[in-house]
Amino acid sequence: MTDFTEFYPASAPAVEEPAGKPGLLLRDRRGRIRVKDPARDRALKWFLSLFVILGVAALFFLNLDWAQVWEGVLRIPEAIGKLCKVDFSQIDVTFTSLFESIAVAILSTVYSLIGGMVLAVFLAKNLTPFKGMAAALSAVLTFLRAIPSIIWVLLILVCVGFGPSAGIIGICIFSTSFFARSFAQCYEEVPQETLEALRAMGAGRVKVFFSAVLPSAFTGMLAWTSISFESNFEASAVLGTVGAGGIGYVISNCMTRYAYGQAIVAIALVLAFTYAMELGFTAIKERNGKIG
Amino acid sequence: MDKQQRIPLTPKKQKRAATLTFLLIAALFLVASLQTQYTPVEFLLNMENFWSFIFVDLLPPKIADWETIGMGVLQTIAMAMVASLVSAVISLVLAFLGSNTTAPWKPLKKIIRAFASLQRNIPSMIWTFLLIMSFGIGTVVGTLALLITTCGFLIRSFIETIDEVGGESLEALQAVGAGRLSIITQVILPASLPGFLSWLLYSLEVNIRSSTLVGAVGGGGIGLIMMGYIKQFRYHSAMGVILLVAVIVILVDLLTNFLRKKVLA
Repeated sequence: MTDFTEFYPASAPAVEEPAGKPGLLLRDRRGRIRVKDPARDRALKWFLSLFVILGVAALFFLNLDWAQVWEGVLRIPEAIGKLCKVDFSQIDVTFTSLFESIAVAILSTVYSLIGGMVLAVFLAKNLTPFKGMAAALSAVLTFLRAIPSIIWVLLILVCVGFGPSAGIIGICIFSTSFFARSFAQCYEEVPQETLEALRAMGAGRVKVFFSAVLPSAFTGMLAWTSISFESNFEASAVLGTVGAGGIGYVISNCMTRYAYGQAIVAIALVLAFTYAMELGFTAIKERNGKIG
Repeated sequence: MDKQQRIPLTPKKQKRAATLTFLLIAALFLVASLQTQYTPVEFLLNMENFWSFIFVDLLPPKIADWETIGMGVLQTIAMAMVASLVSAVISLVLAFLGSNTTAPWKPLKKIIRAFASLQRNIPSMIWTFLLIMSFGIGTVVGTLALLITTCGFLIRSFIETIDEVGGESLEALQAVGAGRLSIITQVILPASLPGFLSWLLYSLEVNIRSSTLVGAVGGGGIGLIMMGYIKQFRYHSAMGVILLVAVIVILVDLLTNFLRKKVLA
């Protein structure tokens, strides 16, 4: 056995290294490398304890009726029993509305994809023709994004009435803003040198966009599109519960008619579709390597 | 004269992938358009209607009853907080049982993953409907619905974070003969804590948004109040609530971004 102690004499001179400077190892007074960074640990601890305190305070504020909770828990088996009486009698309507929900998700994703691609050009710092406009546009889009898509659908529903268009327009408002921000990020990651090289060759804005920016941002944009499609489908699947059409309407309608057996069929279809989508996108992501 | 070799700006393979994606999206778009019979022209022609709706019916926003609305807002935020906190604790335990590196028992890993996927693939508003069956309308249902979807989401993200840690530091500790528990507490937990917290912050952001929606279908809080206004055609008041929700969402986003920079840098 080799004895390593001779390489580490007990009285090693303390190496003075300023703590907190990036790139240097943290050492304690005896010159040993520290495994933990106390400053960061302190921040983490503060944050964690604050979160726990706030969470517990929120729990007390909610003042949940524990008797009601317990009664509810006792009623769960009964509810599951009702749901298990699967009833396929309305399967054709259910399928039609599932397709409607999927169609709404597709259309809103495509329309907002186009809108987002255009808006992102004005938003991306390296491409925007007007610097001041980028800031103003960013503020407007942040506001549009802060309101969930279902609420947009609710508002549009009042305006255009029942039907798929309320869903498409409502989801589009949210989704366009989402695409604009994320695509702008993708565009900004395109190396400045590439853009300069093309500009030096005399390529115009449009040419630069289509032959440099779009190809190099493509993978990132695809990833964002898949994320957005997933969330758009989720929105279009539930927007029926607030009065618009699609599979959500079937679910809420069955629930209010106490036709739980039919509702569970619709819910299972939503689950199957979202699960298939998740599997598909995960497979694509793994094949393309790490994205984003 | 020999042919000049041209170097394409974009690699051929990538070009083919792009074309395929484009064709796929175009085909889906066509089918979906036929199915819904939707054309944007119809909306653009009715723009007048839309603007008059916004400027006459919605604006100016009005806050009808500060007390009720304030209470609703606090309830909504509290629902989101509680759901995030409780599901973080549950997910932490389940993620360690379900991760590739730390799972004690392989079948349990599969069960946990399937459980999480079931939880997150049913939208929270549908969970609300299911929960109303046994719990009735109120904040209990809202909190539980958020809790379920957040758990599903956090379990997956935590498992991914733990799996990413692994690697050399894990092997080093295994080489010196550290047990499972000390590996978890000494390597995995410290290394994945920032990742956990960043997912936790993200879940809080998502929950703040969805607690309004869950509320609208019977989960209590500001969402229920907003839905009530819309059903009574009190659009000015509804708009006031919606703007309030937007302000809260933006504030929470700013706060979480700040925390990400400060704490997780």
